[in-house]
Amino acid sequence: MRLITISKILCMWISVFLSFASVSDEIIWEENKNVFIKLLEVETSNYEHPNTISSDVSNAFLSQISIINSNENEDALLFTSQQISLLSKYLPSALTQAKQNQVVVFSLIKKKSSLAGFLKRDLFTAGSIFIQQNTLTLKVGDVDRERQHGYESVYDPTNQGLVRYDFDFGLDSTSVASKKNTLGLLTHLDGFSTPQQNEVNIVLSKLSELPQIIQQQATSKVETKNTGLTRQEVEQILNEREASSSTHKGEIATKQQTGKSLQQTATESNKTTTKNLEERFKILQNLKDQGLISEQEYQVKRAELLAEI
Amino acid sequence: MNNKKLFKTCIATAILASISSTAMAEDETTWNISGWINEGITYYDDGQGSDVAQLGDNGTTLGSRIALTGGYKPENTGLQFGFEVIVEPTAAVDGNSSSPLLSNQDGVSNANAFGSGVSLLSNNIYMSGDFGKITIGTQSMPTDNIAVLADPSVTIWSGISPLFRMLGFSIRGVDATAGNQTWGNFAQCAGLNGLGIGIDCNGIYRNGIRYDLPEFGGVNIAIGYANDEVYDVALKYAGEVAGLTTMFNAGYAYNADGGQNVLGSSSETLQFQLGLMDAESGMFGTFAYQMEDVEDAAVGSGDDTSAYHVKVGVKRAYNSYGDSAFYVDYGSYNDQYGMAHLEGVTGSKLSVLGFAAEQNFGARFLMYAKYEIIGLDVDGTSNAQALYSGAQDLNLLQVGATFFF
Repeated sequence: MRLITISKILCMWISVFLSFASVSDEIIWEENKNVFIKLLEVETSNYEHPNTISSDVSNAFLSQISIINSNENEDALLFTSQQISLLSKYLPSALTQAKQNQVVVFSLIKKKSSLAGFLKRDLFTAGSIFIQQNTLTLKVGDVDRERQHGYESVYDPTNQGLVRYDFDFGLDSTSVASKKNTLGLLTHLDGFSTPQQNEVNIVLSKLSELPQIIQQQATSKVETKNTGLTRQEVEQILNEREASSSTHKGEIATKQQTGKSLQQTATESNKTTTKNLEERFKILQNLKDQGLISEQEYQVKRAELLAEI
Repeated sequence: MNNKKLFKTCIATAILASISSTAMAEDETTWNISGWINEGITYYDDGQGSDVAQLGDNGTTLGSRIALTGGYKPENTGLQFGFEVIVEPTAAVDGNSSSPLLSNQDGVSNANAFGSGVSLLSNNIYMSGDFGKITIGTQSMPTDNIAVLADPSVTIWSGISPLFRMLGFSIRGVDATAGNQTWGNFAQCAGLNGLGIGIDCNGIYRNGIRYDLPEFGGVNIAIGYANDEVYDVALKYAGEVAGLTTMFNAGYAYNADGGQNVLGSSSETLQFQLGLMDAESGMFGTFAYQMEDVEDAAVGSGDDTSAYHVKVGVKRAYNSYGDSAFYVDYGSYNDQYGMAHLEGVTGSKLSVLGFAAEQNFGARFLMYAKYEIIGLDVDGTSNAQALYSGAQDLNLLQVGATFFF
C-alpha cells in the first residue's frame, strides 16, 4: 500500500517536473544530443541578427582558423574538413533564423582511434558564432574535449545515447581562461583579427572578399610543415616543371626556325607538356594526401593545372 | 482536402527518406576496448585498532573493469547487433575471505591480489533499431545503480556511497554473541536477499533480458526480467530544467524470491534519485531515496526499510589540469537489520557522513580522497541495547586514483 501511494506521488511529480523541462533551443542541425548546431538564447540582445552570409564565405572563414597547441608549439587547423563542410552548410541558414538575442552555438565531434581501431577517442569542439558591431565572430570554449566513455558505460549500459554533456560555447570569458584555448589565423588579412585567446573575428565588409583573397594567397603563400617534403621544396619542383614547360615552348620556336615541321615539334612538346602535367597532378595529389596542403589550396592549384590543358 | 493531400505527401516523403537512408548504408563493424582501473590506499580506525592497506578495487559493479564491445550494422536493415563482455580484475583478498566485498579488517590488512584472477561481470548480446534495444545475457538490469548515477557532477568513483566500501568490517564494541556483527548486517537489501549494500538494492549484474524503449523527450524507459523472477522497470531523464542540468532516475523492482533474509516470500523495491547542477557556478546536489517491502516476512523483522542519501558540492575548473570537485555527503540506512528483531531490535539507523575531494587530469585520470565516518544507532529492548549500544564508529580514509581508457 505504501509503495502504491509513493508510486502515485512519484508519477505526479514526474509529469509536473517534465512540464517545466526547458525546450528553448532551436535546433538547426542535430546528429544526437551532443553533436549539433543550434540557436541559443542569451541575455544580451544586441546581436545583428538575422543576417546573411553565403556558404562559400563561411567555408573560407572557417578554414583559416588554427588552434595553437602549446605542447607542440605548432598550429593545427581548428576544424576538420568535414566539420568545415558541415558548419559552412548550416551557418548561413542559422544566421538567417537567429534573433537579436540568439547566437549560433555548435558542438562537433571528431574521432581518433589507435591500437588497430580497438581504442577509440571521441573529441568534441564547441563554440559560438554571431554577428555584432558589423563583425562576424567565432568563439570557442571546449576544444578536443574527450567523451567520457567510462561514465557513459555505467550510466547508459545499453548505449542508448542518454548522456548529455554541458558544453562551454566560449561565451563566458572566466571559464574559458582556465582552458587556455588560443586561436590563431593561417592568413593575415585586413579586418581579420584574434582580439582574445578564444576568439576570431572579421569585419563584414572584408568577409565577402575572403574567398578570392584566400585563393590568391594560396597560390603564392609558402608555409613549412615539418613532415617530409616541405612546401618550399614542392613549390620549387612545380616551378621547375613550369619553367621546363616554358623551355619546351621556346624549343618549339627554335625548331621552327631550323625547319622541322611544326606538327612534329608541336606533338613532341605536347607529349612533354602532358607528361609534365600528369606528374604535377600526381605531386599535387600526394601533397594533399600527406596533409601538406589544405583542401582549398588543392582545389586552387588543381584549377590552375586544368586551365593549362 | 488540401490538408489530406499535404498529410499524404508528408508521409510519403518520410517513407522515402527512411528507405533512402537505409539504402545508402553499408555494412559497418566496430570494436572497442574500454574501462577503468581503480587503486588506492585505505586507512581505517574501527575504534579498537587501525591500519593502512593498499587495496585494489572492492569488487562492486563500479569497480575496475575491462570491457570489450562490438557492433555490426548490416546493410539495408536499419538494425544493429552487438555484444559486450566485461571482466573485473579480482580485488586483493586474503585466503580466508569469500569475497572482497565482504572482507573484514584482517582480510583487508593481509590482502594480496598476486595469483588472483579476473571475474566475469557481463556477457551479453543485443539487437537494436527504431523499435529500441533488446539485450540478453548477463548484464546490468534496468534498476541497477538507478539511485546512484543521476549525478550531473559525475563524482561517483570517489563516492561509491550510498554503497559503502567496508561491508564486511566487524563492528567493534558489539557484543560477541550478537547476531549482526558487520556493518553490512545493518544495510541489508531485501531484493538481494540480505546482501548489505544500503541503497542500491538491485545493484548487481544478473542473467536476464532487457528491453529499452526508444528515447523520447530526454526520457528513457527500460524493462527487464532476470533469473529467477525478478521484474524491474526504470526511467531515466536527463535535460535542463529552470536553467539547471537535471537528472532524474526512478526504478521499481519485484523479486518473487526476495526478502528471504527476513523469511519473506517476495519483495518490492522502489528507488529514485534527483541530481541538479548549475553549470556556471559548478554547484551541484543529489538526493536519493529507496524503500523496500517484504511480503510474509517474520513479524517485527527488518522487512519494511528505507534509505536516503544526499550529496552537495561544487565542481569546476580551478586549475589547468581539469575539473576539481569538493563535496559532502550523508547517507542513512534505516531498519535494514534483517532478523535482529529476535534480539529485541525494533529499529536501526546506519549513518555515513563523508567529505571528499577530487581532481581530474583531463578525461583519463582521476585522483580522489574521501573521509567517511560510519555510525550505528539501534532502538529496542534492553537486550538489544546491551548487544549493540557499544558499537564504535568506523573511520575510513581512502586516497585513490582511477585511470579511464
